Amino acid sequence: MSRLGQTWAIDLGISLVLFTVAVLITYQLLENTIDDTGYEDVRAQAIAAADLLAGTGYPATWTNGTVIRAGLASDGVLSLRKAGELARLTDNGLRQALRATDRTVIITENASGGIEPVFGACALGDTSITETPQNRTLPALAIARAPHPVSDGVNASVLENDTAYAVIDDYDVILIEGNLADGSERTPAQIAREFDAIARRGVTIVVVGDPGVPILGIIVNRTNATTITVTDPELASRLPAAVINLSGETIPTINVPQGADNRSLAVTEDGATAFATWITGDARVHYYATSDGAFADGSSWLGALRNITQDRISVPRPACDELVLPDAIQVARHDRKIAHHDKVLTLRVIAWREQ
Amino acid sequence: MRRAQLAIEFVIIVAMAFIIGALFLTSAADIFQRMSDRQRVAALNDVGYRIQDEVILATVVQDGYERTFTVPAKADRFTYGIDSQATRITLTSGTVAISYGIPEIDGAVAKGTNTITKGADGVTVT
Repeated sequence: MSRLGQTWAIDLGISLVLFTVAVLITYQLLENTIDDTGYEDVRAQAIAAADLLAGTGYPATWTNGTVIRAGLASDGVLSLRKAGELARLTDNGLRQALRATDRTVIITENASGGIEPVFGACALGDTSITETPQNRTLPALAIARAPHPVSDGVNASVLENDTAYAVIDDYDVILIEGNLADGSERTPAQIAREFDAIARRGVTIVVVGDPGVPILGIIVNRTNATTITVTDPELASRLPAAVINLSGETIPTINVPQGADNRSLAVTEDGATAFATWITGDARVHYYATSDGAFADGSSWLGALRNITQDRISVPRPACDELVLPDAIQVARHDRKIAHHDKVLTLRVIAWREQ
Repeated sequence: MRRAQLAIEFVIIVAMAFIIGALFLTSAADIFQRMSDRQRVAALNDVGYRIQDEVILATVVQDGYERTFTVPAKADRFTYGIDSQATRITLTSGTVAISYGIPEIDGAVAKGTNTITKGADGVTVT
């Protein structure tokens, strides 16, 4: 190659390199500029989602099927019912309910900074966090009148008198068994008000038999029954058979009370509702007309009812590893506080946009 | 021979520059498209959540409530369509369609001025 040819080649080579560098720098600047605007989006989503979560949501008694706007508070405190409903949303449903478009994860932390898995999982949303399955026993109170066969078979503090109302706020599961008016100094209206107040906190309430006073929307009818047929597939799947045989007795059936997600779970041969569930205030109520009866295989309904009730008390509380987020170009988090009994939990929303 | 060699080198290098330029333009177009899509979604969300909030607000206040609100003709700089059902509003723009759950309403939300009222029969939008 001649000297002139060499000079040309070097000139062109250098200009190509300079051009390439200029293109790369321009591209990088372009991408960075867009990433910077993206961070504000992600941050706004984290703030909006955390603010929503600290509220009551809409409807106030929302379930995973009716949620329009998610919120975990009820009567100013954490509603475990809503936390459970939130955990049942799909990732996409969760993002919609929290108005997020980017990937989102929610955790709750206790005062010492550890993850407090109130959802039954360590985190909700777009995350994979290592969990070690284990259960915890929620504080459960049985307000009962003797005999109280269900209360005796589960992990609940049993109180047979009005002292129960003084401590009821400390519990997440309330079991009512027997006639509440028996031996009580409170009027039926006062007892009803006690339960209206507790129901606003998102607790789980299990009622076995006629409570004796009209509480939580329960109006009792007397029905002669020889069988109870479980019509709810989820409940039926937990039983040895769908039919419970009774010894031809009168049981306190009900009309399913008004309320969100209200449905009959089991009926007598006359079609009267023997078991039902509904949401009142913000509490999920489960009503079982009786603990008597047996299945065709000879096993007792009482045993099954104890197991079902115990499962509402003993809930998943996994041990959680540290949350590790994937490689992301923008990560924003926002915290809000929410009260739960005598503790304050941190609701943390982390939103991110991936590379 | 020298001129021919120079010409070939020139053509090769210019061709490489073109290829690099084309790659840059493709990547830049992709970035702008992504940004545009995000802005479109954000703009639709702005409108959708504003409508959702208006309806929710109407359901929680007392009977007799009346308020007018405006649904913009464009979501930011994007044209969009609105399909209002009793319990759902769907906004569409380009290839993006987003649905927003709302409490049950009588009537339909449309672009322009809407009047929302709360009465014994529930929430009505005209």
